[in-house]
Amino acid sequence: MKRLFTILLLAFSLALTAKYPDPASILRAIDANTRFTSLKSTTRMVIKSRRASRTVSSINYSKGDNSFFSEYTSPPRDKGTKMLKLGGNLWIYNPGTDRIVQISGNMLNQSVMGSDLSYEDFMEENSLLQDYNAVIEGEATYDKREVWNIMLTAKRKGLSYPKKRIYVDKERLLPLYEQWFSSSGKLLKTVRSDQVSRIGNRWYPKHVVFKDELKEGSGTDYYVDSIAFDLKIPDAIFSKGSLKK
Amino acid sequence: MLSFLIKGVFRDRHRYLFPLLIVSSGVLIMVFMLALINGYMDSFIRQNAGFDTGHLKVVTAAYSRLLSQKPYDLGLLDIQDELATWKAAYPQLDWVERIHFGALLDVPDNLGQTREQGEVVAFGIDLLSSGRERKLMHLDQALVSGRIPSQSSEILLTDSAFRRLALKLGDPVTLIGSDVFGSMTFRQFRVTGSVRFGVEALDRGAVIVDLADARGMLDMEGGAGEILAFFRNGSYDQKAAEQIRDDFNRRFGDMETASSGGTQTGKSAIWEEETASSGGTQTGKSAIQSESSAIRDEYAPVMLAMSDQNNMGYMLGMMQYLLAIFSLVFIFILGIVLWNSGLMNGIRRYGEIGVRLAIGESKTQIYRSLLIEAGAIGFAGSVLGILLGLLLSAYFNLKGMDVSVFSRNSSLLSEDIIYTSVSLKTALSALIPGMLSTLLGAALAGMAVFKRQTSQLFKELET
Amino acid sequence: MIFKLAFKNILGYGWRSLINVFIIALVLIGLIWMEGMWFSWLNLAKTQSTQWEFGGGLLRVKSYDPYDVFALEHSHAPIPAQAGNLVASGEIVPVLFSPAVIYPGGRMQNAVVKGIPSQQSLLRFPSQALMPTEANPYPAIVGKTMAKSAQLQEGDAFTIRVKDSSGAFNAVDLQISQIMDCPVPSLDQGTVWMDLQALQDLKQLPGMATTLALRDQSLASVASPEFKLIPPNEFFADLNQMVKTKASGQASLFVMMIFLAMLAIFDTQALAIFKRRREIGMLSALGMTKARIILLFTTEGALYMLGATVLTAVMGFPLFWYFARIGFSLPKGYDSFGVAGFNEALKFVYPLPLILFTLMLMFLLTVFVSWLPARKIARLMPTEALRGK
Repeated sequence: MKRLFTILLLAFSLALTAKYPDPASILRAIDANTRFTSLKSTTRMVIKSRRASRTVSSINYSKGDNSFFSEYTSPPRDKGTKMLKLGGNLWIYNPGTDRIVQISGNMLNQSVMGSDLSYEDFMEENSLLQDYNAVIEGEATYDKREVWNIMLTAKRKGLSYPKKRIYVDKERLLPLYEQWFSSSGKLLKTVRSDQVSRIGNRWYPKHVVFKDELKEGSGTDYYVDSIAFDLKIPDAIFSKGSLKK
Repeated sequence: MLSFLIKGVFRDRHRYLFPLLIVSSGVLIMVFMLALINGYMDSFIRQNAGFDTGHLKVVTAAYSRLLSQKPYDLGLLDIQDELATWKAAYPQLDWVERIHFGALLDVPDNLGQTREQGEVVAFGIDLLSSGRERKLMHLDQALVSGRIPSQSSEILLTDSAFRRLALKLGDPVTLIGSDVFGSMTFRQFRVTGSVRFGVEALDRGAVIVDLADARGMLDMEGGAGEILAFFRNGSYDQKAAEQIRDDFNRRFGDMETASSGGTQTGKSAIWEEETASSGGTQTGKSAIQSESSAIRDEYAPVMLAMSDQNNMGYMLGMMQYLLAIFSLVFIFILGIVLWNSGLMNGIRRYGEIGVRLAIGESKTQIYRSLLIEAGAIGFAGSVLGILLGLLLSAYFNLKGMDVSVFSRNSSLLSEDIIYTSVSLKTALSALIPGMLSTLLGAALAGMAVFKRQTSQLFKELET
Repeated sequence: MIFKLAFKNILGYGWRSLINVFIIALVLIGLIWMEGMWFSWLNLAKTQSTQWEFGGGLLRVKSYDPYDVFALEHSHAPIPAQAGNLVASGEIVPVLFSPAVIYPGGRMQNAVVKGIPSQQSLLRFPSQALMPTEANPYPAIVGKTMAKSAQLQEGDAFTIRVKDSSGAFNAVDLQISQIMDCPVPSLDQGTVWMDLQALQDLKQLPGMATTLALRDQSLASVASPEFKLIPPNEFFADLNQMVKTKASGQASLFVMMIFLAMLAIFDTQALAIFKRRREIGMLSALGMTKARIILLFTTEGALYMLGATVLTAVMGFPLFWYFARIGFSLPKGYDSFGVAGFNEALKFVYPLPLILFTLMLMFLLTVFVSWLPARKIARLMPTEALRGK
């Protein structure tokens, strides 16, 4: 009897797995879309505060998961400000004061240029496969596309967001809607992606809306104006020396 | 008759000197004490007004609700045209603009890398175009080392922060904060001096920079966190302040009533609107309520009187109440002292009264003459006391009285030097107890006249 | 003999003496009242701090620096193993501090969150309100000042976000279960209180605390090297300083009152000596030395003070008793002053040594001012004095 039960259970779970693909393979596919050896992009961030809306443009370079450099090109106030992330460290260069300041402690809580993203969010690494265990919890239609509803839980300590729920486009294997949770399950941030287009062999969103769910406001729009993957970027860019240049 | 009596009094040194001395010294002490108390009140008001509340203060409606947090991102932006209008509308007021903001003070090493960091509260005040803020914030008195900034990009630190961060005069420091839109912002400053206000909350970690630097740093050109207004004559007049406040809010404010009660009601209405629009957890009820208030501009200016802020109204009321009690007790004691002296005076003249009774003067007549004499002495003594008291007060009004021994390390806003302040009205109010107590003393002492037995008179004549 | 004579003389003046005595008594009552007030206020402030925060002794993590906000994230240590039972039995109350970001009404605000065991009863802190219930699984307490500044009301929910020990964000929705009337400002301003267990869970810091309030100081032996005992004089240093400065400010006003009282005595004495020249001459002629006569008059002055002390006791008693029993309550609003001891009726406790010292001082002063005019006697010629000149 007991044995029968076990077999039934096994069959049942097999049926489930048959219904859904292997979640790890989905994460792998997402990583293939979103991760890169290197990247260069020009982006615009539209920040809506209670009083005004403004656009911050930047040129960004990334290499692997750990190196990131960006230089702001507008508005005039922020022009020339540079940001460098190397591993677990973050520096900001301010041209007005000609100072390089390391962002740490409470400062990491602050939002980047007043957006709904904090410096901490910038520090996140972006391999879902490496960082999270995934369970497919269902299917849905989101923004007229068929999506998998996947629950992610952190594999290791030290991630800012221990739980994430992502709705992944079944065909393009790209998250269209993400919910980032605290360890107690409180929704902290949401990320909505649209204008998904084909870039080389990837699907990539050209418009992303970040929203800090604890703050009031309607979120920050992030537009990708141009993007190129897997270029040759000189290593010198990802050094503190390049901040002052 | 009157002049006869008065001449009589003032030609006999024994009869006037001592009572006069007592009355005048008592009145002098009273005038001086009232002046000192008034001076202390003024100092308290001036200190709080200068550092924080102003006699009146203009902020945005949104700012006023979070007043204690000093949320500069809800401050007044591009306000210069409006300010000019307000200045014209209330010529009796003097205006200063300020920005308070929290920031990180970053101290670089020789390579420009972060050596030390500390959180500070920054005051952006107008240091360069006029000396007004220097006076309001008592910067010259507060200066411990160095000098007050004289040009852009110079900074003053409180002494404890200056020491904790191991700074030297002339060192470069960077302030890092968020601008009014939330973007991270930097500004380089040179340390010109350190200050100590004697107010723990401030002294723990504050910096002072020029308003223009703060504006540039926070992207608030032409704006201010708060605009303080002061009566040009320097003294706070509660009634006038409240009138101006109501008038201002009617003319320039967006809210129906922003008077002390009004901010309260306006508060909850907009508050609910905010929470409702945050799309979060609020009930539908507040969303409906917010409908009506949504049209209001939460960045519209609101004027607050000093008494609307930080419980100052209550504090002032309480202080006035305590001082009134104290003055009353003092007047009472002074009265008794003078009465006592009146009594003594009567006793001295026992013999004289005996003679006057013996030669047939009526008791009532003697009693009346005693009262007139006492009145004359009381009046002369009081006037003398008031004059001397005014003179003494005037001296300390100019020179100030150093009470730093008492107020050092105090965590309340108080000044080290108290300047006595006395109005003629206050001074004249000392005339009443001065006169009254002498008269009362004489009246009671003189009662003895009626108890005199003629049979005993001759015995007394011997003396 | 002289004392007896002086006493008779004083009685002989009748109600004129009474006035002098009355004046001194008034000043004395005022002085004692003021001394009682400052002393009791300091006492109350200390008692309240002790009851709410300090307990019988306080152990604090060494890395804690009240002036350094950056250090707060790491200002905690494991509650020492030896303290385990004592914590369970409520003899030791651990409190955990953490920096936090709160979002009242969707506006981000930095705060300090403190966790205290909801079942503790050692401190007067109303921690029972932190007991989770079905309706409110994450109850929180804030003080009145904090509630006002963050615009929170009882029943309001707001999100709090902290970083847990691994660096991950953690956040919960707290609901205000009580807005407390806390007399100790440092427990109120910028502070959110929640259950210790809940905060430890939220921060993933099981068994950690920043401070340990002890039932009494002897329990300090449980401290591990990470903790340091904070002696009361260090804990109350600011408070002592503050009372000292405030009290001395008011004392200057009393100096003037004392001056007036002394003026009255001086005046009385001067007149008495003037009026009693014949008596002085008589005493002198009878062979009393001038020194003894001066002593007589000085004793008379001193007797005023004695009388005043008695009168003070009689007249002042109802007042002193009233303030000791009913107390002196400051109306609402005064507590935003930023110091402890303002939110409840101040029941007076009278500092006996200080009052005795004051009486002594006043006594010496009275003797001095009675002696001043009496010096004149020494210059009197007995013959002249007898004639009353």
